[in-house]
Amino acid sequence: MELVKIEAVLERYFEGETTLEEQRQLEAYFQGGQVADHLAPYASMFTGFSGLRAQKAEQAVSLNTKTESNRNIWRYAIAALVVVALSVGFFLNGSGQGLTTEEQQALAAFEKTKEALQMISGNLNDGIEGMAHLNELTEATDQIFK
Amino acid sequence: MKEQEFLEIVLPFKDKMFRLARRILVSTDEANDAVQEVYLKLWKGRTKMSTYKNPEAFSMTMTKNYCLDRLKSKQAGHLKIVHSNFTPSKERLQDQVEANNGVELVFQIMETLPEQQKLVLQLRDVEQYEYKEIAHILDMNETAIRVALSRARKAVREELIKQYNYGIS
Repeated sequence: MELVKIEAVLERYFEGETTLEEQRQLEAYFQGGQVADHLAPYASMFTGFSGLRAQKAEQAVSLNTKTESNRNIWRYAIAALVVVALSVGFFLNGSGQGLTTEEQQALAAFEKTKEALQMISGNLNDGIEGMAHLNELTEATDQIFK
Repeated sequence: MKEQEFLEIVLPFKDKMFRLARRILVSTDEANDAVQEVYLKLWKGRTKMSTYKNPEAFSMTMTKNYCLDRLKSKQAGHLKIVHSNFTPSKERLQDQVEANNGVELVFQIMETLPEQQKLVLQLRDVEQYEYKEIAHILDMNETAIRVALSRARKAVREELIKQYNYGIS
């Protein structure tokens, strides 16, 4: 389109009076590459709008349809029942045999730990008795030097 | 209404809804979330969908309302960041204009506009809706739309000229 016509349409554009068809003509002009110097600042306006228009939503939309959520509820219910059934089974089995191997191992470890701790506390007590003697010595020397 | 039928009606304007959401909320992530929420709402109200003369305008209105509400509740909790100051360097302006055809620049300038002007510009110049449709979506009369449009376009022009002059001086 001729420059004179473009300028006329452009003026009406800024007054908010152009039709969509005229706006498309403006866009075509500014994307054409042969933009008059004094109109150069407006180029990014029109290329900007058309660039924005080309952008798309990248994310898909999901509708939680009723049937889907019903199915899920059933699955959770069945899974829960299975877990309960298994637990009951284990309990009934377990109470007949006494301790399982794991429980026996845990008990052994517990005993060992108890032994070790008693050893440490024994040594500590020895240490403390030694400290008690030291205390007597300090008191005695204090009395002498007072 | 079955899911397939529903999607056939509402998916065609998903991109427009997304762009409007992003216009209002600025963040792409927020916009995606908003679009998802609005589709769920539309789905919940799907029995009424067949009664609408213009499901597109209705969906866009719902998007606008949802996003404006989200924006307000976000701003209630945070400080509002005001973009009123563009200080572009020579190189930056050129980069922007050449690299993405002014898309980023126009988006940023639009962000500084008052809400009504922002929305009118988005619906008319980006989405190319007719005045009747815009009136429906924004609940404005056509004269008011024209006035807001003129102001918005002039504001963008002013900013662009300012930046263009920074660029070449």
